[in-house]
Formats: sequence, C-alpha cells, structure tokens
Amino acid sequence: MQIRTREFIPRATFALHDPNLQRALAKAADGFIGKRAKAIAEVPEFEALREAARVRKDEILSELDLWLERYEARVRAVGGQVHWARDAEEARAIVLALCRRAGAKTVAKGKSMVSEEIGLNEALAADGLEVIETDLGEYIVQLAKEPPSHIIAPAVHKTKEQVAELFAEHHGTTPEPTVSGLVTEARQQLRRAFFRADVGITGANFLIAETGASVIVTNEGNGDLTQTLARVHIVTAGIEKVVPALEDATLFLRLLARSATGQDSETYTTYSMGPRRAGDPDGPQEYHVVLVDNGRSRMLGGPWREMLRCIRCGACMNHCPVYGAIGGHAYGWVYPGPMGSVLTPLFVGLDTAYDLPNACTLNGRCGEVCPVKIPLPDLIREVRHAQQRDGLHPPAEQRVKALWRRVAERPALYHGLERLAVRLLATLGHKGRIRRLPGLSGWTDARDLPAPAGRTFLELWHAKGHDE
Amino acid sequence: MSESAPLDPALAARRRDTVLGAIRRNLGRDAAPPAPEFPMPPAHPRLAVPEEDLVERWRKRWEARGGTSALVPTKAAAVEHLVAWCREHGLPAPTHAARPLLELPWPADWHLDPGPAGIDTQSAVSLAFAGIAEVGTLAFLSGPESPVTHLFVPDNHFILLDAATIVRHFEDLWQRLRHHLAPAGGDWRERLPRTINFVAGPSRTGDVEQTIQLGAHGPRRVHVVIFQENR
Repeated sequence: MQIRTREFIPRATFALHDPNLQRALAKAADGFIGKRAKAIAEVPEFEALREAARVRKDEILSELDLWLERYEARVRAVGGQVHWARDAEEARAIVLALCRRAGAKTVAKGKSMVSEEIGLNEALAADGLEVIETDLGEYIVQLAKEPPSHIIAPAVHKTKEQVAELFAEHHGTTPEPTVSGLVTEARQQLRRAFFRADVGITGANFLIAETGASVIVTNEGNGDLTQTLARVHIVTAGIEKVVPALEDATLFLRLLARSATGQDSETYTTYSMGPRRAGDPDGPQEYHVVLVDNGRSRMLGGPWREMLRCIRCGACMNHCPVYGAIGGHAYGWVYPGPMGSVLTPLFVGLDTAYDLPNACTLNGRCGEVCPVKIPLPDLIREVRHAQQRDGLHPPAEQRVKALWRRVAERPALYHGLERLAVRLLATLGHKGRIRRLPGLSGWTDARDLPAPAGRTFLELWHAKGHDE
Repeated sequence: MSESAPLDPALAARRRDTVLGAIRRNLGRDAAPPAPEFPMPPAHPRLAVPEEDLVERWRKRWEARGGTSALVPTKAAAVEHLVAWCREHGLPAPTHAARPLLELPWPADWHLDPGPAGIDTQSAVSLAFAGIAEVGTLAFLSGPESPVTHLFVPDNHFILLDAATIVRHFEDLWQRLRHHLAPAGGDWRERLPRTINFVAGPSRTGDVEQTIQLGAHGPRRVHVVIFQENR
C-alpha cells in the first residue's frame, strides 16, 4: 500500500470539506460508541477482563520466542507449514511463490490488516493474479481503488448511492440502491469468486500455540468461504498474534467483539488447524502460515512493546475526535486513528509519518476504551519525544518553543507578558466569548474561545489577600 | 531471485533464525527461556451466567442476533418440526445433511446428501457439537460427518442441537473438547479436526452505511431445533 502520510494536512483539509464523508463519519461514530457502551454495560466483569488481558499479553510478549516456537511445532504436527518473513518484501515473495507453486489464477482474500501492511494485493496483481477482496467493505474499496478507511469498517466513508454506482460500473448491472439490494448483488458476485478461487488468503486474530490454530472472526462468513473452498489456504499474521492456550483466545475474544462492534460475539469464529484430513469432504489441501515480523521484534525492545498488545478492534479510532473529524484516509496508510498514530511512524518512519501523532489532542479517550489497556496517549507523546530527539520538529515550531522556554525561565518577564495578554484578550471578548482570533482562525472557525477575566490568576489570588 | 527461492528450506531456516534472534535480542537474552510447564488451562475471568436454565439463556442470546429456534422433546420430533417449518415458511427442502442425521425418519421425497455443499446448494441440515450459553452460539467440529461447507454455503441452514450439550462457558467447552478427542487419555491434540467453527446466527454485514443486513455471504436464515431426549 502506497504511503501517503506526508499528505496528512491536505488530506485532512479535504476530508473536513467532504459532506458525504462528514455525514458517514458522524453516523459511524454514533453507532460504534453507542453499541460498545451498551454491550459493556451488560458485562460487569469488563474491567477485570481488560486487566487480565493486559497482564496476559505482557506475559506472552516477554516470552514471545518460546510461544512462537511451540506454535510452529503444532502447526507442523497438524500438517501445516510455517514461513517466517523478516519484512514486507519477504512476506510478499513467500505468498507469491506459494501461489505460483499452486498454479493459481484467482486469489480470494478475507480481511487482513497485515496483508495491507505488506502491500500484498498490488504484488499479486502485478504478477497477473486476479485478487478479490471478499469482505464487503474491502470489496467496495477495492472496486473504488481506495485503501480501507477504518480497520473494521473499510468502506465506512461510502454512501449507498456511491456503492450502487461502483457496482453498476464494475458488474454491468443496475442494483437497487438500497442496503439490501446492494448486499444481495455483492453476494451473487462474490459467491462465484469463492468457488473459482485457487488460493484463499485470510488474516488471523489469534494464533494458538497449544493447537497450532489460526483464529478468525467475521460477521459475513467471507473468511470461511475463502479458506474452505480454495485448494490452498494461506494465513498472513503478525508475530505478536500468538497466545498459549484456547482459554487465552477466549479471554481476548470476550473483549474483541464488544470493543469492536458492540456485539457479544461476532457471527463466525473459526479455529483452523492445518489442511483437510483424510476423509474430510471439504477444506483446503494445503495450509500455510506466513509469520510477519516487519519491525515488530524491534518494538519489543523499546518503549513500544505495549503497542504489541493491540488486538485491532478499532475502539480507539471510534472514540477519537480527530479520527471522527477527518476519517481514516487522511492518515495515509494502513493503520489510522490513535493506534495508527503510534504504529505508522514506527513502520514507515518518524519523519515520513510526522503529522500523525502531532494531530492528537491528547484528550485520552483512546486509552480509556482500549480493551488491552494500551496507554495510547502516553505512546503518542513518546513518538513526539522521539521526533524531537531526531530533530524532526519544523524549524518554526522549534523557534517558538525556544522562545517560550526563554520567557518561562524568567518569572518577571513571564508574568509581565501574561498580564498584557489577558488584558488584550479580554478586550476581544464579547459576553465572555472570543469568536474570532486574528491569525488563529483555524481554531475559532469551529469554536469560541472563552475570554479571560482581564487579570491573571496570580493577580486575583493576591487580591483575595493571599501571600506570594 | 528465482521463483522458488522464497521457499528454499535453507533460506527459510535463516529467516526463521533471524526473526527469533531479533526477538531474543530485543527481549534482552541469548536463547529461549527454559520451557516452563504448560500452565494448562489458564484461568481467566469469566462472565457471570446466573441462569439455572442454560437452554433458555442460550435461546435468548441466539435469537437476539436474528437466529430462530424451537424446543422439541426428541430427535424424531425435530424432524417433524423441520418439515412443518419448511412448509410454513415456503422454504426449499434441504438437499444436504450431516451423515449422522441420515438415519432419521425424513420424508421420502427429501434426498439428503452427506457430501460437501456446492454453489447451488440452497438448504442443509447440521448437527451441532455443542451450544455455549454464555453468548448463545454453536460449536461444530469439521470431519467426514460434518462438512464445513454446510455451515456457510446454503441460504437456509437448519441445525439440530442436543440440549444436553449446552455448556455454560467457553472454558467448559474446551474441557469437553479435550476429553472428547482423547476419551481414554493420550494426547488430544493429535486428533484435532481441521476446524472448530462457532456459528452465532445468520451471516450479517454492516458495511453499507452501518446498516445491519442479514445474508452477506453465508446463510440468511439459521433455524436451530433443540431436542431434549438426553437431558
């Protein structure tokens, strides 16, 4: 997937002025937040589950090599193969070689964020393979030649009229522009793809060391048709997905659906362990897992280890006011919102993804809703620190900060300027609000600034008879 | 790089060592830690399931997601119910069924195939391995007697569920599974089916304007008949 993180500001500006997108985002935010809140209200154990998940995931990560070795041994024992990829290029090459060896012409794909991360679709298509995304949202954005704008609702930014136009253009049909008409149309088109596909590629929500299982959850059933009907099933998964036992998967699944879509369970949860057994009437003949590092092992070593707890539920972006205003495309790569503001700079470079963590308002909602208690606001701040250490902050910002420091280190000067500023700002206010601030219209266009009282806090404090 | 190079065993082994080495280096040690005894099974917080009657809890949760269900006394009564249900709702007779169900007293004009479902399969009947009351879902183990395509391909899916197999929590199911796969002891992991499938209702999507629509790729209608003869 092309990295467009440097276009964050123009893309965010564009998004803010796209009425369709704004309508879709408002609706999505209401839906996701309300459904999650309702689901969690029914589970008094939710906090205990979050804490247990945090502790368990940290235990696993501190022995990640051990669990991966055990997982690999079990996959082999059930007749599957494990391939290790150090980076995106190796992962692509492995999947491509597996497709070629299978003589594949058509590849069906279930939703996988890792496959987006490694740019798999483009590589397969460049080799002449027909690649069909089968998650309805992914299919829609694939037809539109766009990246997903949300990790669990990839086409959240599209209206049904836009979807109907896409289907008309690509299928040569005239589907009814209703939700039910569009879903039926996609069902008929994709059904043929499932039965035609030679290779089925899915992601994995979890890998289980005890059984060698890869676990996927879907509501549509597309991941299951993808892996059941193709001759070859390939799983692409990050190395951080492994958990020791079936009971661990249960722990994380209790958090995942409620955090993601506000369901107590997704419709389908599937544990896949190797290829078709002797006597099985269906299922793939080959089963492969491509374990992707691509920078994850490095994250284990630094302050970023906690980010590897992420189970990709999307709750952080659903609750992020910045994501809610600009949508996922503005973030310019695979992972949007708060988790993306940490992950993207680590994957593509602190420099290349400079704007992402700096767009954050540090309001803290993402950290409050994260089901595995990743301290996202702290990590976002940590990315900013790393950018500062690398001297990446723009010169103008550095100069302003240097000036600020010089003033802040001189109390007399600081208080003098403060007294001047509050008096000046007070004159701009009307009924306690400042509606327009010269030079800062970006702020005041959308909201008022409370006007100061005309005197500084210290002046008021002293006026009340308190000592210095 | 030649076509098969990415799959070359020597190269694959080198990649594996590099990734594991990088993990160890970043964890600050040289080799894998001494293998601890497998902490089995780990005990995590569960959700309270206060209901005495697990069948009732299961049905309530199942139906909240758009599935339908019925409660009958015996397997034979389940057959009668299904025949009436299809007639009443104008649904096509099933063409596929799990092998253990073939012996049931189906109508003479229902020809049930235990093989995999094909692109035109409209309707199938399955037998669940278990129900889980916690969220009202069903578990299936794939195998010669339980084709996975029956769960996902047809428009209409009928499922027979033995009330005695409904467990309270997922943890209860895992324990039951371990025992089921190796009833006389031994390593249950040697006998794992290809898949364990959980089905919690009709296929659904919210991908067009966040509006829930049933029947995205899998069955639009899923009807469960719970029989109680073993209860």
